Amino acid sequence: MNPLLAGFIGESRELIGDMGDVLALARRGEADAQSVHRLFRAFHTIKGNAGLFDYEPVTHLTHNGETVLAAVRDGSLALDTALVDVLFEVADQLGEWIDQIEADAPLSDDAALQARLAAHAPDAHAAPSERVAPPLQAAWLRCLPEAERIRALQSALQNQRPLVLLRYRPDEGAFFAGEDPLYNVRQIDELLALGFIPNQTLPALAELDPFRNLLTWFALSHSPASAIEKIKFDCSGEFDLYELQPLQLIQLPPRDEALAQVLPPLLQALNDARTGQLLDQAATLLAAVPPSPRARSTALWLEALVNAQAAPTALRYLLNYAIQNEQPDWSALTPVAPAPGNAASAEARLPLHLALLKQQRDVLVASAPERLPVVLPSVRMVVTNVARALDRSGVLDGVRPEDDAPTLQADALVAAITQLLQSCAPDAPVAAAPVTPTVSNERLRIGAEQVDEALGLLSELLITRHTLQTTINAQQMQLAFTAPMQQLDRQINHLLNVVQKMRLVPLERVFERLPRLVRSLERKLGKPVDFELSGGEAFADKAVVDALHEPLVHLLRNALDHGIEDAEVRRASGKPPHGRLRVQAQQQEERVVLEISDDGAGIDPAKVRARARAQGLIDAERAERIDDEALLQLVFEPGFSTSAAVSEISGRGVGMDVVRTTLRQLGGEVQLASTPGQGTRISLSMPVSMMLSRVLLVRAGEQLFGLPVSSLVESLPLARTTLQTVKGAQTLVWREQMFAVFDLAGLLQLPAGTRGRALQITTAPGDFVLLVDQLLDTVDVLIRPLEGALAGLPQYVGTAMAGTGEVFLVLNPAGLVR
Amino acid sequence: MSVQLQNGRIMLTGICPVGDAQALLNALLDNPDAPLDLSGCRHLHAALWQIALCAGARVGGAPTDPFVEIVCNSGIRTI
Repeated sequence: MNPLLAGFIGESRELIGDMGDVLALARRGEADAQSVHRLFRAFHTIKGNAGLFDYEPVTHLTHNGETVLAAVRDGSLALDTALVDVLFEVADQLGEWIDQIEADAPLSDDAALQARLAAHAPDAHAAPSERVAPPLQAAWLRCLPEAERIRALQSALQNQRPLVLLRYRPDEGAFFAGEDPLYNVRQIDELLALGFIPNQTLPALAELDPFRNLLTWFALSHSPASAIEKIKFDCSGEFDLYELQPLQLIQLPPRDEALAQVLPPLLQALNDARTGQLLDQAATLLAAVPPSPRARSTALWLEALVNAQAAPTALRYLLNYAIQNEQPDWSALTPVAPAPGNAASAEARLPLHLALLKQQRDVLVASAPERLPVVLPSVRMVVTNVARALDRSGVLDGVRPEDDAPTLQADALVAAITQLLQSCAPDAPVAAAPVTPTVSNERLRIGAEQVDEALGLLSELLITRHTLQTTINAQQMQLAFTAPMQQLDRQINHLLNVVQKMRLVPLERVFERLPRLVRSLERKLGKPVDFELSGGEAFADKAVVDALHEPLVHLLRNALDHGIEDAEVRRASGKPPHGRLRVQAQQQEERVVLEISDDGAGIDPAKVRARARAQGLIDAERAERIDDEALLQLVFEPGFSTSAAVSEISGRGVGMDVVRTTLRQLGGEVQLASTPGQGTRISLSMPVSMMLSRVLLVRAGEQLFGLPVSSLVESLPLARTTLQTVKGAQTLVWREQMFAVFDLAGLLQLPAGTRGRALQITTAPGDFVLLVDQLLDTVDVLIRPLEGALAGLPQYVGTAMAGTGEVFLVLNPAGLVR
Repeated sequence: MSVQLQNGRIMLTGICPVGDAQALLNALLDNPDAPLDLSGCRHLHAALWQIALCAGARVGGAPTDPFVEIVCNSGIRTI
């Protein structure tokens, strides 16, 4: 994906999350002027960015949102519940669009929402009954096939025919009422092209209701609007007609820098009135850029305009559009003007030539070395053309041949351009722009793979350091190398710290989609809730944050479906009708703790006890003995569910065990507390960073393993204790405490070893003793999460590399035993 | 019945009204890879088009009706 677009998607999601926060405040009546301003700014930024990529529905909706919020800001409109609800819907729609943009899917139609938002606009109350047709959007034209738009443009220009676009959004129930939108469209004379935009993300076939209309249709015709108007009688829903200027049919695919750089000479040729050779020149120029949808499309439209003998203004419109990367302003479109007379004199063109030269120099200076081969041919061509026009071709003598190193070519071209500028406009400031990019405080968005690459290099650096230390020791030169080795250690640690920080992302990343989920569940279940999210600014490793999404979705679904009661039940038990659902994150030194709490019905321990007995999770004796707190943790066992009915939302008995497995894989733990009638609190705790950990290297069954030092209590002297078998399980007593004993090789089904060493391990569910064959070094290692088939194994947190270069598995003590 | 499965293709023939929607939906659910043959189709209801779209169906067999051809050009995969 284009990095700019990826940036847009990421930033938009953050801003949509921001909108949700402010709207949640507003719903509780706690929004102040500053938060309204924050909301406004979120709309404004998304609008600006969307314009850059031509996502017109996004621009349009955010623009209308801005208008409404401007009225709220100046006090002429109240931010009441109805408006907050519509704005929530707007934020959800924007979120859906961003998902669609990411999936490269067409954007769904939003006219109904636009209308609901418009009803709140300051001037909406002037004429509420009359529906106003929405302004023409480029996306509507873009959904018409390009080949047919090109034919329509040619025929409109050559035969002076009108172009009319129909937007027809039948009601959802139109098919039931006997309406066939395609039959209605078929009645239009001289139909040129047809297109459609789904009103929502299209469902999979198995979930489709075949009798519900989901599409908005767009039809392009040469018929005058008055003739098309006649079919309106048979059409339900929205029916709007737009008279088009032929050039509005030109819609180009997304931006293409290389194309923008090679096209200026074509514009120049137009100014020189050399339109006769325009297509040849275009072919030459377009051959100089990597083939792209925009370049191909530009060539097609150019050919169509030239063949239709369009005036130079039309050609200029197309070229400017292709260069500018933005949809030209349609309001500036006037009926195509006649061709200009003689070309401007050389003198009049001088400022343009100078501007072109400066622009080319800027392009060279700003290009990264790897981009130079793409940029150089077009720059060279422009500079050659301009030098020739200025009668100063001599300055190009020093320019390096095309097969020379790109950086040398670029330097020589910059020198030639500077010389040209000086000779033409000696008074103008011509010092070359600084070659080093300006350093600023702005944040960079770095690809995760680059950070991983840095991490990989660090692993290798640690090995090199280990080899170096071994050599120094062997040569008995420790004394001479003490200081440099210490310095190296400090530097490696510093670098590690920096890379670790680069991998940290705010929890906001996983939080931003939750409000949308909760709102959709609220609607589905008809249970209103006040949803609070806090602590999104807490940071954790990207892998940790990404893995949290699924458990959180599951826990929220459970809370809303089973935890929070219906409004009537709540009222009857003296609770406010709105349920309260809260997700709080907190940074606690090296750990992040997430708490999901609700004020719902809670979990009844008696039911859990009965269910656990019925499912054979505990025996009768344990069911008697076990306390409520430990009992409740059984809901995390695979297949456990207390829900009487399996609902669409949750209750299939899958999920809670997945929550615990996921957490354990992250090196974390999950705890549940619940009070019947008052609510449930689930707390997830996991390490901030999974990367650098201190592990104890052990051998068991002839294999090397790492045990996180954080879970070790002590090494037990086996000689001073005795292993006993109690009810078929091995145990030992140490410091007056009894521990279950497990053999690591046995747990992992490896060949039995000496089992000569015992370690006391501590985990959230309890302590135990682990037998291994041998204890080795304690080392700092970078742990990489498991991938592929191994990723689902709860026994391991990842792999790491020992100083010797040997790769080993790092154990997850909590996942080793049940 | 204007929706029929023949030689691995789903044939839409003549005028295909909304009443054929369920038949087309079933045919596509049972034969998700079968291409649609619109060569003998003189008109299809928008509901049928919507089903073909959600199925990601491909169109094989060039439509002979000019309007059906315009509908096909509006965005569906062709073989």
